[in-house]
Amino acid sequence: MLKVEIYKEIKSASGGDAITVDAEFSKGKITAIYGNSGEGKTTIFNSITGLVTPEKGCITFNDKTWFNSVDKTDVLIRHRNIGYLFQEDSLFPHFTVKQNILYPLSKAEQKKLDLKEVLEQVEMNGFEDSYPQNLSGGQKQRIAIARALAKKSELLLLDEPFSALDLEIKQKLYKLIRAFKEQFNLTILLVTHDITDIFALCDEVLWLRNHAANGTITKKTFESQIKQLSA
Amino acid sequence: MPNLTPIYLSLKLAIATSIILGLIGIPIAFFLSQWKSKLKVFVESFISLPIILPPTVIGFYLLVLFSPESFFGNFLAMIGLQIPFTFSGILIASMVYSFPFMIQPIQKGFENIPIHYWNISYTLGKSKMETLIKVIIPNMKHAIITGAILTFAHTMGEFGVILMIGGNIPGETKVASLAIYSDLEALNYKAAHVYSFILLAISIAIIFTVNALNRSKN
Repeated sequence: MLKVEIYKEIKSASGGDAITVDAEFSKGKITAIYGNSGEGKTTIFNSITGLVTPEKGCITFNDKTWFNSVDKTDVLIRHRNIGYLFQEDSLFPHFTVKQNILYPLSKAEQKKLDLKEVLEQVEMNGFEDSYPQNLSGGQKQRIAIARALAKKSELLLLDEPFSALDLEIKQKLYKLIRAFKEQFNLTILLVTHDITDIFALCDEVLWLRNHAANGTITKKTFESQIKQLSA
Repeated sequence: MPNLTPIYLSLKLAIATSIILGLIGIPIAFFLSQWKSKLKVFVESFISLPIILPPTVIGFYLLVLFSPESFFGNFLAMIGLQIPFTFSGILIASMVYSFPFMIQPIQKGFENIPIHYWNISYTLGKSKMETLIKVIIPNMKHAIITGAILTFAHTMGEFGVILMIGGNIPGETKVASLAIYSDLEALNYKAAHVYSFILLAISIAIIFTVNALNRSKN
């Protein structure tokens, strides 16, 4: 389980502001972080990964404290073992698919890894020697997922990974992510401002309003709140 | 056939300057690309000075600095180091003179690397140094090669600064550009033609290489 209780100051269009989040994200569930642009969705991800440091709060994952402002705990990003799919290309252009997947692994882990099997899981067999610039957007995201799986990340953060993809490719990825969630019992967080992603993929939602969110809600509750808003 | 020592000296100087400046320039350019201080504009302006300063001014100040009459020059003389009118002298002078030509393209290269390359690498468990070596530098090799080629080309054509700090000593500091000048003064047009043609051929080759690199990058 991932527990996030943070206060993080941000610069917004209206000047200084702060994000306050207090939420628990269950293992084996996909939770959407939903909100308008500028609400601070990516800042929450960056706080979880350690790319930014919250002013106050605490982040724990499976009983390990990653961040605690009181006792100044701040586990290094590289020790948090998070799979992060960025909004932009998550692959390095100078590496082949194989090199991209092997990059986070130690020499011993690289020897143990069955690359063929990993590529099969994301339906990308035969692409090991291709460069990212020769892949489509959906294929790149699948390779990024394969890399997170090869790294055995238990927490997967997806930062609007479907925003530039066609519906058909999106649906393939939804299926893939759901399958991996079941197979590896992953905790998955998805940043999105597209409610179709939420209805298609997620179990719970953390709804950011005025830079704040207190607890997650079920997809059903989210749906009724959305209906109320549009009524 | 004229004596080819000046061509050899020019090539030796240009290669040494490019290699040493490359080794010094990459860390400095990286530091500048990451530095957020308000002082940055002053440091960058200072680094760019050799682009607009007359070479004779740079040569003059270097000569003053390394002269045995100065405190620093006197210290160097005491430990047995003579800089003016030696190959080491023209190497130092050409490094100062070509400094911005190496630093600026590499700094731009670092600044143009998307920030998410760093972030992806960090989340994949890599340190800043590993990310720099395995991800960032390979993705800006064009910038490094451009810096090295510009430095090499600039050094090949140096005249004033080398004349000031190195004199025109055959076999030691008389590089191709100085040899052309000397031969012209001595009405030895044939030798001047040979040196000029070789420098022209090298310059054309360099410009073609830089353009081809930029094209392949685009």
